[in-house]
Amino acid sequence: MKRILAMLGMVLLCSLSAVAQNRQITGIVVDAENKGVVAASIEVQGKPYGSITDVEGRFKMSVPEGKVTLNISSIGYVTKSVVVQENDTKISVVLAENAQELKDVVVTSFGVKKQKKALGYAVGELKGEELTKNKEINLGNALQGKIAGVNVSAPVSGPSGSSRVVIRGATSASGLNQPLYVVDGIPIDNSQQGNAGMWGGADKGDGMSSFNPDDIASMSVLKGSAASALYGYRGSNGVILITTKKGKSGTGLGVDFSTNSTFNTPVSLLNWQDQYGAGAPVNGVAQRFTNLQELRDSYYFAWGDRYDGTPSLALDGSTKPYQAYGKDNVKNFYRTGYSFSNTLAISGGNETTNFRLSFGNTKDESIMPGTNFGRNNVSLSLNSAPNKKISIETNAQYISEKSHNRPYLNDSPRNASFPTTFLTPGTDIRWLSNGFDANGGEADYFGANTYQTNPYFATQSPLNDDLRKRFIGSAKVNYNITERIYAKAVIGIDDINYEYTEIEPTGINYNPGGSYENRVEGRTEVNASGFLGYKGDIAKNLSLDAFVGANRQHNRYSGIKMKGNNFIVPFKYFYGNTQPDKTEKLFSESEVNSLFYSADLGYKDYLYLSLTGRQDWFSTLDPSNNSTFYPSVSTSFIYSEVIELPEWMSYGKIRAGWGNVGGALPDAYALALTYTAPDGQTDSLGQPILGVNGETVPNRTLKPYNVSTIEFGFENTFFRNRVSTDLTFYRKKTTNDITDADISLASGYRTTKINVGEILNQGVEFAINVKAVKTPSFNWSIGYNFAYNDSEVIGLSDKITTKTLEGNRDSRASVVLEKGQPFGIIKAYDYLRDSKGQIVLDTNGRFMRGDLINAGRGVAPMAMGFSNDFSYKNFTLSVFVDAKFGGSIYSATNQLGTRYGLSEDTVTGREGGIAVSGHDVNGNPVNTTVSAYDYWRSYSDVTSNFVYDADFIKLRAVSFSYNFPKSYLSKTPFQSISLAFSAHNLWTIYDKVPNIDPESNYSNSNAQGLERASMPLTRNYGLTLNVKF
Amino acid sequence: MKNKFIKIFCIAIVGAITLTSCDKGFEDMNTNPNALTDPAVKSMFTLAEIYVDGQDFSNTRGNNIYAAQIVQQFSSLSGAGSKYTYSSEYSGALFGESYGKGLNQIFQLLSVVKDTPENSNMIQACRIMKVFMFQKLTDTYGDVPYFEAAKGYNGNVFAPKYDTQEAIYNDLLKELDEAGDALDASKAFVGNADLYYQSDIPQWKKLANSLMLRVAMRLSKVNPAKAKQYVEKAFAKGVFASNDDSLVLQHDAGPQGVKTNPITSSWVRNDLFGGEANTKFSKTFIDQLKNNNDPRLRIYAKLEATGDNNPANQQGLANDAKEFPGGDKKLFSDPNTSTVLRLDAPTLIMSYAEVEFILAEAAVKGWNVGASAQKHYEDGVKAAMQVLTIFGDKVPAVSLAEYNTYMTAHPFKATGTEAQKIEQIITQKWIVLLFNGFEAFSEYRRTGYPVLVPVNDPLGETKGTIPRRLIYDQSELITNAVNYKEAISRQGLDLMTTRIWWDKQ
Repeated sequence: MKRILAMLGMVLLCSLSAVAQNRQITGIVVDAENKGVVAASIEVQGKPYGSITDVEGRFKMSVPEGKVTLNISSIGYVTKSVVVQENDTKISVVLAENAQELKDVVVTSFGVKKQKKALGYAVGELKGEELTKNKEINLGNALQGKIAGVNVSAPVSGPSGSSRVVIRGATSASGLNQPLYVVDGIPIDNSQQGNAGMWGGADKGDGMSSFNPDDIASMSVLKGSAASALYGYRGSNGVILITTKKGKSGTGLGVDFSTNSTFNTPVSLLNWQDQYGAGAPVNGVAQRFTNLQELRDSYYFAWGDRYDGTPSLALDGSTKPYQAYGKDNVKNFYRTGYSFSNTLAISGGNETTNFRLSFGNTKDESIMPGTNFGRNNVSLSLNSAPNKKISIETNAQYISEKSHNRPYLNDSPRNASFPTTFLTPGTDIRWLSNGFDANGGEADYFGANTYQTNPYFATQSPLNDDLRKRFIGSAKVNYNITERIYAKAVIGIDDINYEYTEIEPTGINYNPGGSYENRVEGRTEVNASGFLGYKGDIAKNLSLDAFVGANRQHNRYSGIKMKGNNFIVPFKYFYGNTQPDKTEKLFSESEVNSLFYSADLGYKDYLYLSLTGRQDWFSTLDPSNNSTFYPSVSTSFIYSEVIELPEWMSYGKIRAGWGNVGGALPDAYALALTYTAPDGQTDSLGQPILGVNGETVPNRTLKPYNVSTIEFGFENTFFRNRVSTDLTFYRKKTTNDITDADISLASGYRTTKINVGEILNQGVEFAINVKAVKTPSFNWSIGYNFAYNDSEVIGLSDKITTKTLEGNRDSRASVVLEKGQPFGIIKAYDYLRDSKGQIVLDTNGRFMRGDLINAGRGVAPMAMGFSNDFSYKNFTLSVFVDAKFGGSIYSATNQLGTRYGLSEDTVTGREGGIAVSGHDVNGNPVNTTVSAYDYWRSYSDVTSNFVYDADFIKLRAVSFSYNFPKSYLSKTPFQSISLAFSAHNLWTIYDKVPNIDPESNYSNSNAQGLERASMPLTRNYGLTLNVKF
Repeated sequence: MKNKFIKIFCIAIVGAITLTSCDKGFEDMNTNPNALTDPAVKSMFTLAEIYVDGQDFSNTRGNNIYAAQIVQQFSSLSGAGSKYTYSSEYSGALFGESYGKGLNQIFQLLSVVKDTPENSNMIQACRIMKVFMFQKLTDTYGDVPYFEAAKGYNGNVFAPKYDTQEAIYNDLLKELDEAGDALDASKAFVGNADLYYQSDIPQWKKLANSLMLRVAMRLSKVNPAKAKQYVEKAFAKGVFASNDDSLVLQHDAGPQGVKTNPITSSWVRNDLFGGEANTKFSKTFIDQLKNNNDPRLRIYAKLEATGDNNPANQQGLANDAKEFPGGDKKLFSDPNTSTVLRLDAPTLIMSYAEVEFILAEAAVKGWNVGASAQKHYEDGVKAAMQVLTIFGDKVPAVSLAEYNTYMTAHPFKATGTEAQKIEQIITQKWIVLLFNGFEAFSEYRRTGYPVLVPVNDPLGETKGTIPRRLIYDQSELITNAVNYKEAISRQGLDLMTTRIWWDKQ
């Protein structure tokens, strides 16, 4: 690694020394409205000199002595030639807009840039500034609400955690359903390192948290199968193409510095009752504890006596007035978090070579005390085109990420949020703040509830650490064999070193001996590909842009996992200090070979046809059955070029695309039966023992599942391109989904994986952009996007109709797939009802738990984003609102809050009970008074009462920035300075869930819609300074 | 010039692609370098032997909670076996574990060694071991998958057909007969990898024949002629003749799991550490031993609270009890943790005593088994007392004098009715089958002995009668519905009261 960096550095120095010769000129390229034209290319006619304009349309370049002619071009504008006289050093050029052409060029599969108008499928785009405007540390989360059809949610685990990005709905019951990420043409790993499940755990992050948003130039989202077909078996969930920032040729040396500080404040949404203390009623009489042990056993159970201010026993053992102390427990326990990030980028280049080198540093202190995250990024892009024939592009990134004490979620052990959520109102959480007993173990405040950990002990003890070091590199060589024929070779690597340590500290009450687990692993993917392409006219009015290519993908994963128990010397946390329990070798290796082609035909710049095909061969499949073909076809017709349209309509296009892609390639070694020591035990009575490995029958015929999408789209612009719209309809069908099918136990196994499932997603996406006001000093632009995705599980297998994705920890609700229902239904208990649907009471007047019913869907089918950007002179204001509708969430916080007598509702009936009338199972009338304790506890058994509409509208982000005027800066070394203030989650405009944020999923798995004792919502305020030298 | 560039380019591409591939071929890459694809067959055989008598899962749920409580060896307050209630997870435990562990291991091993003549003895041993497991399965549930069973991998049979118990029994007898004959002392076996008999082939032959006695005698109600034929045949071929022949599986003391005593493992986990099972010795069992001054009681039982193993102080829990009389469960008897309830206590898979009791019964029926019923009975009781030395010497062994005293006090009722004799024999067998509740349950159903007072609990599913079988694992309704329903339509509803084929009224 060091050697590679050193070599790259040397190459860089050599290229720098080549800069500057002849004479310098500077200039600006503007459009008809006097706004700078970005990325216009300037070439000296007949000479190998060139440059590109910056974001303000400015350029600086060297030209040969004497009079020269410059050709200035930019997509969307008419190319213009300008003569520069011998003595001219400054020029100004106005480019006329080319109404024939939309400005956009988009990045498509394998990094191929295409004119947007030629595409027969939808591609979502996001520019780098969109990502950095609001300073999201996590790149995945930065996509939220920005692109129609891209549904982003994040577990409530903070910025170092993972994000769930699902494009046009989940395609598979067993797959991850997240898109493939491709950075500068190289597929990268986005493995989830670990998630909270039914039994808790920490969100250990995913592959996307590695990236520094400041290094991203743009993102393209290939949503449908037609767009992603060239990625074959990896295209089922769409592809996100990321292009990193590059240097610009002929611009000399530029320095960009950006620094951001953000404060993250916890927002308490808990609104528990503050009138009743701890304890369960005895014979109907509310209690007040005089025995500390009993009080501690009931620390979360607020069915006790009414607060009256008289001296009583408190949880810390002292005697205090009997009253509520816990209103601000959330605020008092969590802290104000703080993120600090800096990026320094140096870029430049001469006529043939450019580079960009950036250093990024991020430090994040979570609102969870003791939890922090740090990231360092080094990124280098080095590009050279020494002559017209050859161009070379290289990119390298080195990233190190370090996390300490990622918070535990859902289940209670080590989860500081659990007691913080459920302490009875009579306890101030700070009384627990000495979390350690005299021996250094966990202080006992919770009595018999040993699996509930003192939050101060949890956050002040070492619980987990992880370190990820990652190198992502790519090199591309393009060689123009003739003017029309080119060849290209690309090689890329994503190499990850990961180490994870998980500790149960000495003295933790549920396992005082402690435990230690360490996992060290390496994960490498290498892709090498070659292309041969043709670009040019093949007949009059008929253009062809086509290539054939081959790719070899090689993956290797190797690691070791060690676990030990009972620290021999307490508080010394390393493996050698434990009684070793289990050591496990982790390994897999696989390869995929591919051949592919792509052909784009264009007729007269208004009718386009695109065909692609890819054949994949998999090493992990049976050799007799190891190949699949993935085709696509799409077409685009710009009818506004052919038909006379009314004047208010500037542009009209219709498109259609179909493609067939795959997903969830079976793992290595799943074909053959293997043998291993049973339960890790290698001998009995001195004789070695060996058993059949696993309970799943290896299925030799298993293949990746199949997704085909058909889509139609309509793109229009109106009023001289002031208003643009894009409307898409799609139908995406998964077939041969891989189902973990249960088989008869008498077969000797429990399950087999078979290609039988079918899932349908269909929906509509709509986006509109309006340049509402466009004047030299004031601009207002509006963007709105909307997506609706309706999913249906058509079938799981011929034998099963329901498959549980995950159960709630208390086994009171679950997220399932059910035939005929949308993907990810929340199942919860209804009231016990009679045949007429009337609620049945027990003879004591309590509710009873009835059938499991479908209580909602975990993923919102409808999502939208609404942005407004205002600029007045040097001020810019951006306001971003997003919303989701139609989803639900099962809130165990509310269910337990009711069961534990914490919910405000449970105050009702505490004095005198609640009168109920109804009938029992036998139809006999029940007219009685039920105590609040019995009433609310039986109400809490009916868990469908706690499945809430998770609809929300949020003022997600506001940013306000100021660009210092050039006139102020002319005497300083600065080219530009801007200062921006941004805020996140300022206001939840609309939501219906009590006590928690509607976006409180604890995991990013397919089982969306489960919440339990979540960390609070955070509100962020940040200040960003950008300086350019 | 152009051509040269193309050449260089092609070389570069090929080079790049070659660089990324390793030495392994594309197809060879899919062989897991960290697991065995060619198993060490001896080690598989050793594990198969351990699996034959079941693991913790089936012994806890199937034996300790169901079978052993139904025959009133054990008892617990809410035990499904004591109260005849239905618990799907307990009732199906033997079904899932037998096929998933032992039978799958045996059939996979057979598929690996099937064409290797040098493993002939191993193949015969596997056929014998398979009979142990299938007999227990079919005796417990009735018709079960047999001919298509455990073929999930070898044959991709994911929903095997259920076979009639009669067809299964015919094949079990055939397998024992053939395998016993095919065992060949002149051929290699597995040495000490055979935990049962250290590869002593004559011992294995005796095992096959002794097991044939067990299988054949089970047909005494439904097909007495066939029972007689095979009992006499087995006896003639040679059966266990002393406690040295008994099939005893030794266990390690830990770590708890695969190789520890499966009865103990579950007891330690569920009971002794304050779990909910609260399984105790049944009052029926303790009283039987206590009232007859049985010297075995001090070895079998002790009080949980004090560890006191004084027979006079032992107290069993009545199977119909809804709470512990006196309120303290610790004053009731557990299996003795210094003898039978150790993690490394051996398992008595098939005892010489059992063989003698089968022969005694055969003699009562007038079949040709060498000696008189009395001789077989007395040898059986003596062997049943003396075999307890396998549980160590922490508690004094039963002396010959104690045996004589016992036999004098409870002589064989040589002049009694056939029913009285059989009651006496089977009651003794019931004692030696402690920890093998499944076999005791089968023998109870076949003979009606020992005489048990049924429990009539309001939650019971049998209207106060002793169950005649256990209910299939309910996953079969989903994963093997067609074959399951076919079996039910043939055999009768999937209830605890349905009688299986050999359990003729």
